[in-house]
Formats: sequence, structure tokens, C-alpha cells
Amino acid sequence: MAKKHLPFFEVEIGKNFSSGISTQVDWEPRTNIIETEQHLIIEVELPGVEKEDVSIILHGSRELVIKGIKQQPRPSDSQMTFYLFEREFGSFYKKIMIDFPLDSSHISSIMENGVLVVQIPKKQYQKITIEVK
Amino acid sequence: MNQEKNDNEMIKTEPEGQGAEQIDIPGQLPVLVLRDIVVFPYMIVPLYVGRTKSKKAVDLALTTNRMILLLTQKDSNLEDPGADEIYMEGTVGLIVRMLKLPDGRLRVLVQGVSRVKVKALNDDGQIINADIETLEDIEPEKVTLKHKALIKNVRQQFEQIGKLGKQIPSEIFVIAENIDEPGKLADIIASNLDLKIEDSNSILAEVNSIRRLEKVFDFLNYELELLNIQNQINIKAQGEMDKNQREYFLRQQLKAIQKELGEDSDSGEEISLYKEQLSKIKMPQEAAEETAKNIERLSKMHPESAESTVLRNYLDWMLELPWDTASKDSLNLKRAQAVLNKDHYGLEKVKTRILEYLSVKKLTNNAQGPILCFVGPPGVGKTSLGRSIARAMNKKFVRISLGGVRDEAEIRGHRRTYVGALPGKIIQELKKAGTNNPIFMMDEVDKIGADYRGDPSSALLEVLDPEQNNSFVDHYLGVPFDLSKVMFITTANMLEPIQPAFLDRMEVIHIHGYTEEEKIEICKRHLLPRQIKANGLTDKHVTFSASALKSLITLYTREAGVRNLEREIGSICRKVAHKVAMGEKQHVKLTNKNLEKYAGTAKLFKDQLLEENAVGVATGLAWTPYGGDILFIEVKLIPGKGNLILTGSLGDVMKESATAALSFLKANTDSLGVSPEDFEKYNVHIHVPEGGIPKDGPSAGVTLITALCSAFCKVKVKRDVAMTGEMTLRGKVLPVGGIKEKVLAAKRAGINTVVLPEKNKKDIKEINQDYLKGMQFIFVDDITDAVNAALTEKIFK
Repeated sequence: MAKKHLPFFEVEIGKNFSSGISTQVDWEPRTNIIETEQHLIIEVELPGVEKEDVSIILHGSRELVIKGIKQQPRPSDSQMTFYLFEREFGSFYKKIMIDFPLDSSHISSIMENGVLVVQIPKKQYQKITIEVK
Repeated sequence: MNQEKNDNEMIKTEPEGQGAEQIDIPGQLPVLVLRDIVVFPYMIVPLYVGRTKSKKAVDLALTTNRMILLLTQKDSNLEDPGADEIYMEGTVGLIVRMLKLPDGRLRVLVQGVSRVKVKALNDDGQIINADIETLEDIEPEKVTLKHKALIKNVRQQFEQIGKLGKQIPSEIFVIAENIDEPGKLADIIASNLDLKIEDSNSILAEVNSIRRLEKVFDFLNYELELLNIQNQINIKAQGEMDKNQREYFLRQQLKAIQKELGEDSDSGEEISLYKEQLSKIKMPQEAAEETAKNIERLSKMHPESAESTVLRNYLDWMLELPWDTASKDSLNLKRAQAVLNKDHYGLEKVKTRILEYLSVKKLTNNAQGPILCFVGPPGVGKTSLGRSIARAMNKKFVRISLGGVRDEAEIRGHRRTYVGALPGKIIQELKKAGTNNPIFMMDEVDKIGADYRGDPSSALLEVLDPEQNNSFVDHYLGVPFDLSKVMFITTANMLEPIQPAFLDRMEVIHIHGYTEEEKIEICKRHLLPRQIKANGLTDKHVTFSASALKSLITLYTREAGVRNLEREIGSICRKVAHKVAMGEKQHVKLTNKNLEKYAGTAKLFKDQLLEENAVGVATGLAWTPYGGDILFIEVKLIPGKGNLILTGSLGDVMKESATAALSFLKANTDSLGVSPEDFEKYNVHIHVPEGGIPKDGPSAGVTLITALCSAFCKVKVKRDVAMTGEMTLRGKVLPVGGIKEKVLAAKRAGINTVVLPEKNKKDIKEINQDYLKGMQFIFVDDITDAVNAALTEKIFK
């Protein structure tokens, strides 16, 4: 891919506490997007999320949505006092717009140590020489 | 909790669309009652939770689905509000973060999620639970143009508020710009306006999205208006402050510039210069203190202010006055005499008096002395005499003319409070003189005016009184100035108009007119050389014969002084200069023959004695400020009833003399040989020619008697005899004044015999005997002698 310019990713802006306003309830996991020679690698931090609760959805060929739910553990003792509550729970939602062609048929994903890694191979264009007769 | 599970396939392909989850609201939630805030959906807000019930509710929410119902109490002062004291519309909040603070309170970050209505509140003492139902926004069936316009307006107004300085996070504007749902927009904006609780609640309770937005629009407008006014006030206040600051700033800059230009220390230098000057001058204590005080004042003043200019002026005056500067007097009397004689011919009496004055001064070494007042007709040299005295004594000479001065301030100055105030003329001239002991001449003291502005001559009283003028206070200076070393000389044409108190302070020296002979001498010594030189001629070009000068004096001028004479000589010199310049003549000798050619025809006729002796006409002598004159007294007897007729502009005194003369005649009919009946048969008419000129005085008494006697006795009067003298009813002759002028007038007219009172003999002795050649004087004590001497026949036996 062109090294001269950066590929264009449109990542939806999520909750912004400082503005005091949010139109969405879902939380957004922290994400890295990495381009290698062959692949586009997307790493998403999802600790405490069951593999079964995550879904990766590709709308068309450009919009990748990672969503799911992080269940809040329910201890048996119902009488609880919280001192600090920072962890995100509930449904999460991450939408990534990808601006270059991907080979959607070979997407692979793996969940390890609470990190989801999605690997999408780039579409390989073959050099075709056409002879003019 | 509706979640999409996909166990089989983690990755799946879907058509593009909305993927975010909708949250499920349970029917019952714990309640967090808020003070002073209404939480709208989409709002993330930190809350501090202190009340036990509320803390319990937060804990409960965190252990379940993190949702909590946020309700607002109507009165923020209540600690434990009941159900009816809480608004029944609220927002379900999702607790995002929670921190327990050391003091036991909780800091909770909640996010508004959904608008709900409370169906029932259950307060069990531990925790409040609410049964709720979700309020869905009622959207308009169709989005009309009106709705779009409303949305656009709201956005614009909201932006405007931001521009006017309302503290709103910038992200909000981006969000508001991208939200098209009217209800959502209304909520977001409402959460950023600091509305009152009831207003906020009315927006929260509004389910119709369009109406909600309209309400928000109203509040926006109100807020905008408020901000506008606030801004205007701010701008105004700032404007005032800016102006002051600007001025201060500019002044500082000016100072810096001046410093850079080296002008900074200007005022400081000026002050020190004044101080230095002050230290050099030996001023009287009072004046020095006043000056020092004013220098101090000046130093504290802005150098550009009008007041400081006034002060500077004042200081200049104070420091430039000759407080201690005096010229060294030369009291060499021989030299003084020489100077006086050289400058002035004649005036022996005056010069003697001046030399006496100087002698006394030399002997007593006292500056104080009487103030001299020269009185005499114009052009006799009063002013130049003053100048000569100054020259003789080696003093500075200053003079002011008081003619027409009406304002007291001219003498004593204006107070400094007046704009453009100056010291009076006395101080001004002293500054000009530069010494404190000049000859100070005041001309025309008889012509001082007086009006509502004050009486200058009264102010002069102080100046001229040797007893008080050592502390003369000029209004402008405000401190006394010592005038006692100044030698004042005044001049006047007449004594009568001078205020008595003023006259009393002066020693009057009369300077009478010059005689013909004196004038010829003055001509030769002063006027001719001066005029010849002034017209660019030399002695070689023009000479005057003595007879020509005499004619000039008698036929071209009639004056006591020599001013007109000098003018005539000047005009002759100009004509000669013309001829010389044209190359027509190299030398002109003025004689009686060619005088008319150069001076024009004679302007006057010589007073001529009568052609022959006549009955009833006697020659009298008169005195005028311009010298003596002869006059004729005519008497005619007209048949009538014995009335006396007097004509010829006669004054009261003269009329009375005529009456007295007639009575004397009536009383002495016997000795005269006149029939008493004649007085019954005739009217007596006495006329004095040149009827246009007023005449007065008692000195015509003798002449009147002579004319009357001649008329009644039918005896002729000698035409070459003139007379003067007052008479009494008893027939005595009393002395009169102006003898010198009268005698000289008689001589001019060709009269060689003059009848004078016996007691005027001394006056004749004072006249230069050279002038009296060919003159005969008959001194009489009794009127009969006078009449006998004047008539061709002796009628008194």
C-alpha cells in the first residue's frame, strides 16, 4: 500500500465525559488498528468478556462492527457497598470504517488473555500486463 | 438486556445500518432524589450523594444493572422530601463511575438514558423505590418546513449564546449541529442552559418533541437577551476603564519619549534654575518666602497645565525685579550743573531748584525727599528736564504717561487670579529700568482719569508718599516692594485738575514759557542743529538769520514752548533738503525776505498797539498758558438809564471787577470832575474784543478803571501804555501774577510803558534785564496814579 499517505480509518467517537453529553449508552473498548504487509490487524481489549458474548460484524466491505456485552458478576451476597466503580459493564460497541480493499473471505479472529485480535488479509492485486496487438 | 448472541459465528456480514443497542428499562428502580438539578437524557453529570437513602439506592443500582432513577425535589432545602415534594417526571440514569469519598459521600457519574414518569413511590425508610413507565417522545407525523426552520433557529441561537460567552463545551456545538431529532436536540440544549428547576422540569415533562423544542427556543431567546444586555454593560464598563487606562498608558509613553529625548528633566531643571536664581538675589524676607513657596508649588504641578504657566510668569517677575540692584549715584554737583546747562537754556529758577535738591541729597545722603512736580505749558521741556536730571545724576530714567489712565490696576496691577494679569506700570517700569533707584517720571498727572474701575491718582498717593512707599504692594506681586529709593518726578500742564491730596505731596516747580529771546537762543543751541541733522543737512547747507528766527517765532508760532517752532524749522529744513538733493542749491540762507518762500505765509499777526490814542480804549495785559498777550478794553457811553452792559465772554470775577470799577468812578465824581447825572443818562457798555475767547481774572481791574475814566472824562488813553493789576474799591492796586509773560507780550506788541502794581516790582527784577531794554515801568500803589499815567491828561488832581 501506499506509504506516501496514511490509510483512512473512520472510528466513531464514543462517550466523551468532558462534554457532559453522550447520545449512546454502550461503552467502547480500547482498540489498536495495525497495518502489516499482508494484513490489517485490529486488536480490541475485552477483558472479562466471554468469547461467546462478542460478535464481529462486517457490513458490506467497509464497515466493521465489534459489539457484545460484558456481564457484571453477581456475587451471592446481595448486601454490598461499593467504594469505587470504574469498570465498564454492559453492552459495548465499536465501529471501524476501513478505507481500503480487504479480502473479507479470509477474516480470522482469536481471543486470548482478554484481547480480541481480528486479522483481515488485504486484497492482493496482481500485476497484469496486457499486450497491445 | 437484549443482546445478540452469536455462538456459532463470531463474524458475520450484515447490511449497513444502526447497530447500537437499545437499553431496556425495568419497571422498578431505586430513586436518587436530586437538589437543584434536573438530569436530562443524554446528559453525563457528576453528582454528589450524601443522603443515606440515596447512597443505598446507588449501591443497589450498582449491584444490579447500574440504573437509577433521578428525580428532582421541588424545594432544595428539604432534607427528606415526601412524595408530593418531588417532581414525578425524571430520567433513568446509568451509573458510569462511582467513587466513595473519605467523608462518606459518593461522587457518582451518571448518564441520562431515558425519560420516565413515576407511577408510584415507595419509601420504606431505607430506600426509595419507584414504579415507572417510559415516556416515549411523541414525534410529529410529518416533518414540516416549519419544524426544520425551528430546528435551524434553535441551533443558531444556541451558537449565538456560545459566541456571547456562555460557558459551553465546544463539543456540544458539534453534537447539536449533527442532531436532527427535535426532542433529542431540545434535551441536549436544555441540559446546557442554566435553567431554574421548574423550567427544566417543564421541559423534561414535555413529551411532544416539537413543543419541547419550542419551549427550549423560548428559553434560549431569553438567555440570549440576557447575555446581550450583560455584554452591553460589560462593554460600557470596559470602555470607561479602557479610556482611563489608555490615558495612563499614553502618559507613561510620553514620559518615556521625553526621557529618550532628554526632555524629561526639563521641569526639574527649571525648578532648580528658579531656586538658584532665588538664592542669588537678595530679596526681602517676605518676598523670598513667597517666591520659594511658589517654586515649590510649581514643582508639584503638571508642567503643561495653565496654572503652571501663570506661576512661571509670576516667578519670572519676582526674580527679575531689581530688589537689590541699584545704580551708583553720581552726586558731582559741578557736573550736574554742566549737564543741566548744556541740555537746557534758560529755566534758571528750575535748574537752581534742582541743584538745591541734589545738594541736600548729597549732604544728607538720604534718598527720601520731596517729589518734584514740573508744571508748565506743553513743549517747555519738562520731560527732557527729567532726562537731564537722570543724566546729571547718572541714574536710569524711566517714564510713564498717565494721561488718560483711568484704571487703578494700571498703577497697582491686577490680582493674579485674572487671566493675563500683569503688575502695574510702576513695577513694569522698574523691571525695565533694572535698578531700584531710577528717576521715575510720571507725565501728565493732571490728565489722570477716574471711573468705576477706581481712581489711579488715589493709588498714586501711596506711591508718592515717602512715608509709605517703602512698602508698596502691587496686587500682582502680593508682597511689598521698596520704592523709597526711586526719585519720582511728575509733570503737569495745569495744577487745577490735580487732586489736592495728590498735589500736597509734591513740590511744584513752575516752568513758564520762554521769551522770544530765550527761544532764539534755544533755536540756535538745540533746535537748529537737531533739525538740520535730522534732515540730512549740515551747517554749510542752511543758515538762519536772527531776524528770520524772530519772524518764525512771532509770526508763525504762538506758544509758550518751542515744539511748533521746531516743527516749522523742520519743515523749512525739508524744503532746503529738497533743493539740495535736486542739485538746485548748495546753500540757503534764510532771511526775512525769503522766509515766506520756505515757510509759507505768516500764520499770525503781531499784536499791534493801537494806531492812535483813543477815548475809551485801554490796553491791558493777559496771561495764558501759552505766554502773555495784550488785550483791549473798550468802553462806550450810550444814552440810557445808567445800566452796565458787559460783553466779550467775561468770567464772573472780571464782571465783578467791572462793577467795582464803575462804583469807584461813581464814588469819585468830584475829583474827576464828572457830573453824577451822567451815570443816570447813559448806559455803560464794556466790551473786550476777541469775544470768542473766555477771559477771567481780577488783573484787568486797573485797565477797566482807565477805560471808564477815559470814556467819562473824554480824555484819550496813551496807545503805547499797557497796564495790569487788581484794584480795590478804595482805589488801591494789588499785585497780580504772570508779570514776566505780560511784560514780554507788551514788548512784543511794541509797547514801551507798562503800568504795574508796586508789589510786582520783584517780578521785574527776576526777568533777564537784556529783554527789558527800552522798556519803562511805572509802579503804582494807588489807582489814581495808574490812571494819570495812562491818560494823555492827568484827570486826578
